[in-house]
Amino acid sequence: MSPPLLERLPEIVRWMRTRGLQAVDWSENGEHLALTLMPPVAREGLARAAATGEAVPGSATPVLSPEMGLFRHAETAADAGVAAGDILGFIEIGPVRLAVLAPCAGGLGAPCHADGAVVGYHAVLFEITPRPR
Amino acid sequence: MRRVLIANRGEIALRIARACREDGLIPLGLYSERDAASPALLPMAETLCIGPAAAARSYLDAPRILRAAHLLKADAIHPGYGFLSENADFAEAILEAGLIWVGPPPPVMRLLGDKIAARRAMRAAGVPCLPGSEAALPEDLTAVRAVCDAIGYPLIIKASGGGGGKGMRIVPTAGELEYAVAAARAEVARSFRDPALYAEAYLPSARHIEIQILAEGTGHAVAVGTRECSVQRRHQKLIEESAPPDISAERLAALGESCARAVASLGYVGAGTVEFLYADNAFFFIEMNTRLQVEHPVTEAVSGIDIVRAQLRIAAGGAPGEAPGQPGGHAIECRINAEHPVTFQPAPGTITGWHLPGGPGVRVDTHLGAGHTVPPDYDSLIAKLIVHAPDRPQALRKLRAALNEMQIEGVETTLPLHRRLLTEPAFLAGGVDTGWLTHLLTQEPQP
Repeated sequence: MSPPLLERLPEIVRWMRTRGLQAVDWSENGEHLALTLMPPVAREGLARAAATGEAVPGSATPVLSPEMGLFRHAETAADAGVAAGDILGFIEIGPVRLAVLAPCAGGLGAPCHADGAVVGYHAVLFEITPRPR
Repeated sequence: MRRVLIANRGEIALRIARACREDGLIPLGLYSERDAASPALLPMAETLCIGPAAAARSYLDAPRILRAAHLLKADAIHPGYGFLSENADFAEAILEAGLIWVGPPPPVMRLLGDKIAARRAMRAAGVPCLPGSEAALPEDLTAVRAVCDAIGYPLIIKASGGGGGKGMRIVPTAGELEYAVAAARAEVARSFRDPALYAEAYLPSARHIEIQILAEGTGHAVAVGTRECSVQRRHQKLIEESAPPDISAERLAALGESCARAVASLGYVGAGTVEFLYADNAFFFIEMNTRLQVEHPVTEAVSGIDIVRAQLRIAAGGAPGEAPGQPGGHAIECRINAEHPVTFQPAPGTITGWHLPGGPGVRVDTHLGAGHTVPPDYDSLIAKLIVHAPDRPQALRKLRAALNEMQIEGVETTLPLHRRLLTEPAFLAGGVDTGWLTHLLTQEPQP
């Protein structure tokens, strides 16, 4: 009998990465697992940010659209300093607006798309660059 | 109808985009994150990433596709094949959103997607069917036994609302019925919304023959060609040709006319394919696919009709257009999959070398090239090689030359298998059955 799926998560994630799989969905011994890995660009950006809470020196952290929809700018000025978790803009999906959050602290670049532009899933909306302490 | 959203990927998305361009329509593309660099997107006027690589959250996610249609201001959606192409609920949602669905009306899709209802409708319209149950198999085993004994053995149990071999069980004798029904019921309950099963006589040796239909909204339908797709592995077609060898043109024409009458009587609109088994000199209806088929190019080659453009014209409320004369001749298609050529295990990866054959009568439908990646998330079809010549022997010679010229490096493909099949006397003679390839490969030591 294999150990429960949750205990095997690290092994499953390694297996998925070596095979280039992004999502799995299966049932085994009465358990059901649906697992989606973050795409590499988002994963690397967030990992770097999580390590320091700030953008990594020498590289910009992309801020990705959480969904496809209409991009709405917030009141944040370009080149402003932002903290992790700040709301940088919104993605409008019909009557719903999803907040776009800063994944890390740093200097916010200009929006990559105009206010009201159609953006795809995981489109780069901004870049956050490190700021000197 | 101006802006057509192509709700698909790969070679068929490219094929549909080209047809749109030719007819002055604006092709709009959608893609998963995995396909962001796909060359299939190049001819699209606008594109949108709709979700992650997993098909369930991209190409199979109907609400996302509808949202993409709204964002891209599409007038129509062409579903291609696979994914949501036979999903009547999706088609209905598109129509309710005020868009044009490039396909048949949803009620007809539902009718033909229910295999029991489809059998009944086709039989009523005079299309030949195998002896089988006229309704879903009852729950009570004694009643099931009575139905199946009347059909006779061997028989096959199938899922009414399914496909892809799921829930399918061959029952050689009455003694094996109980276990087969229980196993099929369990598999169908796991796989499909509709748990109904039906039974029909099983033909151990049969060929797969299909009729391509084009039907206008006016109730007029025509059969525009016949294909043979008997070279299969695991119920998946590998080689298709038109016309089927050694079956008289008159018989095929009569079958085509009866199919056209049947689908017209059902109110069918658009392109569709009626599939048959052919054994003991007789045809038996299997099912109707309410969409474009992968193998449509062989019919295009011998009929001179651009089936995708015909679909678009019918969806726009017009006629499919006349065929430019009758090219005739013989056409053969090989599906080149990124798979191990014997085990058929998918072989995703990056293509490092790529050379395509060409010349008169040689067509390759593909969206790939050197440096492109075959992702692990989707179907393994990477190219379709289609040859057209005045007759079958010349088509086979042309196919052999084209297969020998074609080079794909970096991923394993079915190319070596196709080259090998072109040396098999049974295939060269024509008329092999659907079990032939499996039998051939099981005679050999596995790698």
